[in-house]
Amino acid sequence: MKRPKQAYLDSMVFIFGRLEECNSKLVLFLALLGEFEVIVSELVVEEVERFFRENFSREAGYLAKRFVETLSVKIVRRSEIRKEMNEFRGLIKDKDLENVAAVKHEKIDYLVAYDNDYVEAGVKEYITPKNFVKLFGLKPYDVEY
Amino acid sequence: MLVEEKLLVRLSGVAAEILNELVKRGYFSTKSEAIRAGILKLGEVFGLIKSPSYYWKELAEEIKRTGKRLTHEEIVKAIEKLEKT
Repeated sequence: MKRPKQAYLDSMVFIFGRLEECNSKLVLFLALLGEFEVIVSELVVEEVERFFRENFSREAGYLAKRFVETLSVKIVRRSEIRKEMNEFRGLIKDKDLENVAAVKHEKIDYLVAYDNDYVEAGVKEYITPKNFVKLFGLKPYDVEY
Repeated sequence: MLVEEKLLVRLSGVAAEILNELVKRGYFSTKSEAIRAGILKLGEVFGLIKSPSYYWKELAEEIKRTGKRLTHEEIVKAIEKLEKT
């Protein structure tokens, strides 16, 4: 299978990737090594910042935000994806809508996340961190995330 | 709120050649992405911003400094809370 050149990373990849020894961490290492390009949306930047600020400190929130911003080649803005948001509203849960809309808008092949709601909604781009790292020939951790 | 700039950049000569080559060789998927990465690199060179690796390490240090530790279940709960609001 061909190695992905680009992927959209869900907030949970950044959160678990920094806090646990898991496949999300391997995904972030691959990105840091430049093995693929990271795309996120405004939602991801906001969620990651808020998670680290609320659970650790204001400084942690700032550093996490900067990490996401500098790692990403593109941050998809809400104003760019209004059409897709309207198209998928009702079909996708509200919490996942912006992620899916951004993936469709940017025509990205992989949405890396660990959330069964994407499977239930039939989002074909969805892939778990475990399956994503396998695409690079890495031996994954046992956990899916 | 994210800051946004839309620019029409005219390139010729070496700059245009390098840009085309960066995409042709597959280092970047599009010219826009190569330019974005280049600007971030300039920000690093001039001390306006640090590399992702820097923020990655500093974040780990800051988490350690706070002395807080979250179990897997606590992380899951915190993510769920995040998604609800």
